[in-house]
Amino acid sequence: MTIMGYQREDGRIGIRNRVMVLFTVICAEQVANRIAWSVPDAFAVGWRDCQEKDYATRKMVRIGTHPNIGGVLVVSLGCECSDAADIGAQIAATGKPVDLLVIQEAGGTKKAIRKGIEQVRALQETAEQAPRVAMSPADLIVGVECGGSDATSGLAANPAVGVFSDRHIARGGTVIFEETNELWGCEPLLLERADTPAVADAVRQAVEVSRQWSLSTGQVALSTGNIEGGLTTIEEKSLGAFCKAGSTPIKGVLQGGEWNTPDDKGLYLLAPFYVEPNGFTGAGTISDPNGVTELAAAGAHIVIFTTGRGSVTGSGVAPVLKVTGNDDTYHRMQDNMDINAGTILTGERTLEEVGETIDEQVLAVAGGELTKAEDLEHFEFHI
Amino acid sequence: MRFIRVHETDNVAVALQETPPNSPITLVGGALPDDLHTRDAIPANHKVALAAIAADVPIRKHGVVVGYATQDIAPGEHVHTHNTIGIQDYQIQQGGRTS
Repeated sequence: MTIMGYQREDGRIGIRNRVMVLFTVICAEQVANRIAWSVPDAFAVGWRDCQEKDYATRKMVRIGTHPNIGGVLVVSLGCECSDAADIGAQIAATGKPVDLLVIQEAGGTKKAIRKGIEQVRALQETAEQAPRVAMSPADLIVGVECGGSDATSGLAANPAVGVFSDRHIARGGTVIFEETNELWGCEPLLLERADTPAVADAVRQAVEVSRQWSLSTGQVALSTGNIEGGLTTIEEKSLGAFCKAGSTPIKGVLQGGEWNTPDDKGLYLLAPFYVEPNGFTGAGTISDPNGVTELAAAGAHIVIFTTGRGSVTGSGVAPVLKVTGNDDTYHRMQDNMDINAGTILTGERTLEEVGETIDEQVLAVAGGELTKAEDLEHFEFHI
Repeated sequence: MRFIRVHETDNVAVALQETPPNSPITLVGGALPDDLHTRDAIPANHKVALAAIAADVPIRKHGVVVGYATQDIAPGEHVHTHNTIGIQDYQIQQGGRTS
């Protein structure tokens, strides 16, 4: 199957061509949202704090330069600590169409919204000029994540995604998984899967940083509730999430804060925790939308998101495909759920069959079909 | 009663409902070689042994080792914290024995 992608000037190929409205402080958020809501297919993202933070700037630039993005309007109030012009220039340096709107210079809210709408329309016209090129399924970088999990996640949805991950990697594709805080305790299993001793060291380091962070924030690995729910060991709990990554070797670790895109094919671990030069260990805000944003920042074209209780989250950058292992959730929240892996537990379908369906859906989405979250314009963003 | 074995090499299966003792075990999407019944009550989402698992033998789920039996476990028995230990705890215990 051939997918017609959008060729970007930096050589990458995208599967979407949306224009992103990027606000650089909370004071510009309302104007950015009003602009995005006024133009079909545009969406707003941004950074709220009025403080210089390299981490946020780097992440906005990584998202702005994502191959799925056709153009970027940077919306600034005009006096915030973020350097809006510099963020725009860094994105434009990759050849991406970029425009800048400064609310104070535009003459206030109404004039800024009117001007911004025109700028987004112009960016969309420019984005339409992007050459369409054939893209092999093997060129797709797919992120896998889970949220709102229940007992069905580890039994049906995550193993079915694992079947997909193995299939995609077998044809030469790339899969990124993350959630190192859920891998705490299953180092032996992870290290066994490391492709080289250097990767094993990087995995060990990534899990150790996440352990320090978890301890500093009071998280426990295997809770009383987990044990009551039938999970016996930390390895078993971790496996329930880790099995999304299938069974192939881990080829490398992508560092949070840098979000370097995988340099080869195969399976990669994204470690969202980072250590600053002063020794501070941190992470982006902990939420499902942030997890999706992290995967997109590392270059994921599509994110497969498994849920048991029923997440509604989406992204304007990387289409989010929902897989639930809970048959009730699928029927109750059919507006939000793309794939019912609950049929594995009812005995209607096998893991392999559902894994194949996930694969077919991923290729259809790469070919332009909207996911449920996209259709509902669930374009959450959380740095 | 319905159970799921996540991977064909697993020696445990997970109960899809609360299951009383002496209930026949049916695997969704798979068959068991012999008629197997639960020996214990198995709460929903908890594990049952599909085969005899001797002490120190790995408990396999998702096709990989997720722990070790701390005592002999008979087919149909509830597999949980009373008879199973995590990999790292097991390694520490083994290290303690040899030193």
